[in-house]
Amino acid sequence: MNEIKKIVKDYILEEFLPGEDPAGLADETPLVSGGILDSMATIKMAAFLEKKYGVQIEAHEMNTKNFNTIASLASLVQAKLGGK
Amino acid sequence: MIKADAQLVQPAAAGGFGQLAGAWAAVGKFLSVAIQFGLLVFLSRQFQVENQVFYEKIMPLAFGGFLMHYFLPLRYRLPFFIVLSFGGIYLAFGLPNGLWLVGIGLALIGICHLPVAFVVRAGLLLAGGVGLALLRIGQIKVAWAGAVLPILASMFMFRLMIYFYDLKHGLVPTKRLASTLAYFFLLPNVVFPLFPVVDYSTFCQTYYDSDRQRIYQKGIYWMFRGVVLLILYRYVNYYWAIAADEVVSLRTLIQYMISNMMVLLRVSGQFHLIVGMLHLFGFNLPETMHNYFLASSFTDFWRRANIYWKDFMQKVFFYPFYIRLRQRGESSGLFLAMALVFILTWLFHAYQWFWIKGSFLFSAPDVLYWSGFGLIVIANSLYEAKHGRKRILKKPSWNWREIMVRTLRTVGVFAVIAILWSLWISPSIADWLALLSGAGVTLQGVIVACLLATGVFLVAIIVLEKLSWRDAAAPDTEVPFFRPALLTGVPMLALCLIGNPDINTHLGEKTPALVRDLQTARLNRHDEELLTRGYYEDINQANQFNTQLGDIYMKRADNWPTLRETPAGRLTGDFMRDEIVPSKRIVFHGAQLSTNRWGMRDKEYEKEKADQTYRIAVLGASHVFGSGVADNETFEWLLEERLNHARNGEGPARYEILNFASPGYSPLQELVVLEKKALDFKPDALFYIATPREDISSLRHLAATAIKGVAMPYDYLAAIAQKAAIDSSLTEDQAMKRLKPYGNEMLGWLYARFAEICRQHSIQPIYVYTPVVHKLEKDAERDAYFMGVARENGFVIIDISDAYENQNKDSLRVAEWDWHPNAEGHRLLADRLYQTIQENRELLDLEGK
Repeated sequence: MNEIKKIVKDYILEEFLPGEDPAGLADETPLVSGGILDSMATIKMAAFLEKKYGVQIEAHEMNTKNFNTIASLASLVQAKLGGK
Repeated sequence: MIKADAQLVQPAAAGGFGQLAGAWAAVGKFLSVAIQFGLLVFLSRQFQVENQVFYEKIMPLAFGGFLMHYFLPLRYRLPFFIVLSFGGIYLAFGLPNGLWLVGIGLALIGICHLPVAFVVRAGLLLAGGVGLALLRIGQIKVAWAGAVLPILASMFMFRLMIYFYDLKHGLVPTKRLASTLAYFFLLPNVVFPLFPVVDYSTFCQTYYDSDRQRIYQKGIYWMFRGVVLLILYRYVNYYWAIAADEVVSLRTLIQYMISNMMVLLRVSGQFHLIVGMLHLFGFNLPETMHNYFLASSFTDFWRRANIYWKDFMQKVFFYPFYIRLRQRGESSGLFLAMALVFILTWLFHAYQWFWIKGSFLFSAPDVLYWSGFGLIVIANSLYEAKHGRKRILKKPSWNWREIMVRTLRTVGVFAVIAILWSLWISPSIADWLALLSGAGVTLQGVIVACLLATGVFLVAIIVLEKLSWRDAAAPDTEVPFFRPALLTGVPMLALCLIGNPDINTHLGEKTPALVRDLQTARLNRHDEELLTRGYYEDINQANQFNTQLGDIYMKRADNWPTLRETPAGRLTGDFMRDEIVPSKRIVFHGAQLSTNRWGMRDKEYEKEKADQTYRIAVLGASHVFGSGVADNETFEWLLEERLNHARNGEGPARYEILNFASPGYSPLQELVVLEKKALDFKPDALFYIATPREDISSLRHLAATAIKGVAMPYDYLAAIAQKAAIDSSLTEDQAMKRLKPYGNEMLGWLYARFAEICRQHSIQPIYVYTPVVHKLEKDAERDAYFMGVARENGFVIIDISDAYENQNKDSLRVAEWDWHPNAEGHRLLADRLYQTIQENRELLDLEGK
């Protein structure tokens, strides 16, 4: 789980927040309501997770509940991997 | 998820001082929220916020409900909110209509949960929608449809899509009927047809998801913001908004564009009120709009302007379509999915319009607006997808260079949106092009405008986005509770005090009148003009979506035709436009309407005047004609009865008042009626019934007929049309603009002509200045000018504009959507006119001497 969080965090920092202080991005930092993950970024994020973990993310799963924090994203991936 | 649910007073026995202090703090927080909510109820009534049902019924209901709800254990709060929402429906609609609304709503929800395949349920919902649409357009006639369907539709037209989507994907919790009922029958929805598209999952997930006192305080803050925005909108609408035909320069063009775009302030104000009120019942919903005027890109505007709409489109359409289309390549998939979002936004706008207004909205400017807006947002999104968008974790520190770049971008986005908006609200593309070409735009003017806009936006960005003073008033977990409460409560109290006449009289000479005006819900000058032109029925433009005139239009009953749409009226195809058909008997706007064999709405009179009879010919428009009242309720009918009844043996044996008025007639048409029709009846006096701004109605009629090339009945009018270079290439607004300089001159000619005809035929010309039943922006100077011109031309003036003084004008109109005087309004006019006549018999020469 922590490994997934780290990978997700690194991806967000590299892709969406270049130059930002990594310490400012916590597991519970709001990503959607905080304006970091808009629709375009959500699509990129989903594509990244699908490619990285070989999971399929459905359209209805691309919601605030699953995508709003690094922790919830990791939980989503974990659940998908566990369900395989 | 429920995090903190501190009760008002917890037992302090076991906890000592700390617990006691906590309990008192809870009491303080409750009192603070309750007092602020009480002030809001007072403010909404003091400033007549939105509509009467809202400030007289729903706000007090919500306040009383909040006080009880606050003390309920958590498990009872949601059911209580549902009961309160049903109470709101009952207060707004009464029992029969309320039952229809709830009944149909429950049936729709029931269909969603039928134990059959989703596709069958979807089909049943669609069939139900078609049935309701047939009711909405009057194909199936039921008495309650007009009142119930707009609000029912507002509750279900989009929320049902979201709910069904969530249900399909297992996002609707089972055994949560209360959440479902609360979601659809949201309390404030009964008075706000234009309602934010609340997401069901968000609605459930945010219910008491934080400290409840802070949720309540946030609700108070948002509601107060809503009230302030609505007052601000009223100020812009009353004092700054101008009509397209008043655009004569770059300055007026900018004024027109911005003031019309400010209708967004009203939408924003309503949404803040709605979502704020929901917070007071625990729904910690996100912001609906966020400083959309300060958007720095087109995608940014899309993200800020209507956040709930954007989320709805994203969830139900964008993501599912993108996932299906991405095999075509990332960019193609993005482009197609976004294009679909904008096509659907356009279609849904028309769909929403249909349910709320009951008519279809498909116009070239509408298509062009959504295409243009959609394309620039898509282009901007694709650019951002390729090159990235700067995102930040925390608010950046001050950097003047960045602020200036941001300001310039904001000015650019705002300018493009304002131009597109002006296209959207134009009746046709030709009107829009005429608007732009008539403004005389110069490069120098554009540079000055850009510099000014940069200054204004720079200040706005610094104040609203950099200094974050607003955030200080919006409570979050990091600040002590009472700080935001003070930052909201104190300005709220100040506004209440300013609204008090005992206090605002000390705030400057003009302040009381300004405050009084802002406390009155009325039409602005342009909308009044449209209304007094008498054919607001034809208004079906996007710009009326959320204006006061649009509200009136929306309330109109389905069976409310114009006279020319009935057997008692017909088009003539000439200068008169239409006329009354003789010898007809119909029910018009709910009242008996009979026309005599001469084509007057009146009794049968012989053409030849009997001996000892004193005849008065009355000329006017629909309010004299008596739209919406029965034959024997028009003021001229009542006056005739009274004059004959009160005869004391002196003077004429009989009075006859002949009603030559016709709906929608301007003074120009009335002049033709006098010459071609009324003179044949040999009247002894002419009652020329004047109303405010009759110069405008005359100019409008001249503009409308001249651009159609209709033959003018008077050389003078033809000469004016020629001098103003009016031809068929012009729009009505353009023609109006060119004719306006001739307004006073034409009115002088008109009155002189009336007086001259009267002199030639020994008719006493009497100019009767009557009031109107809507709340009119007073223009005493203009009114005095009209009367002065009439007096100079030999009219005797009767000013009965005070006939409705000290009356509740709302109770004097035919219907909420029809601002003609009702029977009581006509009775008051007749009384006042009779009294004036009795006091001035000699002056009026009504003795037939």
